[in-house]
Amino acid sequence: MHTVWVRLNGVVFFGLTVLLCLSCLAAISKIGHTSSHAPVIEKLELKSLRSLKSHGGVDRALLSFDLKADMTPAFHWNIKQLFVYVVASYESTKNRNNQIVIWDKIVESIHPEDMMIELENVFVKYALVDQGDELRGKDVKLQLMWDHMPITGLLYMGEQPLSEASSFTLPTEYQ
Amino acid sequence: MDYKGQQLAELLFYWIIIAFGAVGWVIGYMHQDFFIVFKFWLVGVSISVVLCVPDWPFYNRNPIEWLDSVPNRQVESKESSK
Repeated sequence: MHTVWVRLNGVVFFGLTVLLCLSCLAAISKIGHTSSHAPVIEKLELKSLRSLKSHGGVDRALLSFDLKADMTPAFHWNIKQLFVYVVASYESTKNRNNQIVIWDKIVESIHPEDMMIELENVFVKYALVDQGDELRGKDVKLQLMWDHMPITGLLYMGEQPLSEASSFTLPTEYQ
Repeated sequence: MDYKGQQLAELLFYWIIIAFGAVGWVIGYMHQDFFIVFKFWLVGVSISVVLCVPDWPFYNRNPIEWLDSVPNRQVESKESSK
């Protein structure tokens, strides 16, 4: 502490250490937030099936869906953004559980107007593609999932309860 | 800056940054906005830099009292070794 530079170094780095502690405290202050503040998913269901085709040996379905969800409860002072995505899941003889992301969206905390997601007849971003040719006649569940991206701390996931997820049956013939 | 001054400077920035950070954290928590915490922290660090980094006169109130220098030390030591 005997020269200007040593004191400047001391002040700046002690300050940064304190800022780190404050950030960690902010992360700790929101542990368990999700158990009492779950997003409300009012509607997530198939609107229309556009096509179900064999695409180079594998089955591919294109569809559109309706989504109405209020993501506001998931946000707090340590959340930077949510990565929200729609997952289609079904069983096939090849895999017991197939999970395919068909649509996603980033909801940022600086845009509160985006937290209420209300979309009708949205076309998928990514096609529902099977590993083989087993899509025909399958029961597919649509489920909303999201990743919490915090300012400080660990990323953690959230999902709509599977019991509340809607489902539909794909046609038995290509169309 | 004397030894007492160095101790004072260190204690000052220590408690100023912690105090601003703690108050800012509580207010930020109430408003659920971490940017408030950051602003309080920045004010605390800025005050500390101004207050603790330059060698202000009040850090020099306890100057070190050196012993008087020994006159003709080399001559003396030569004489005593004889």
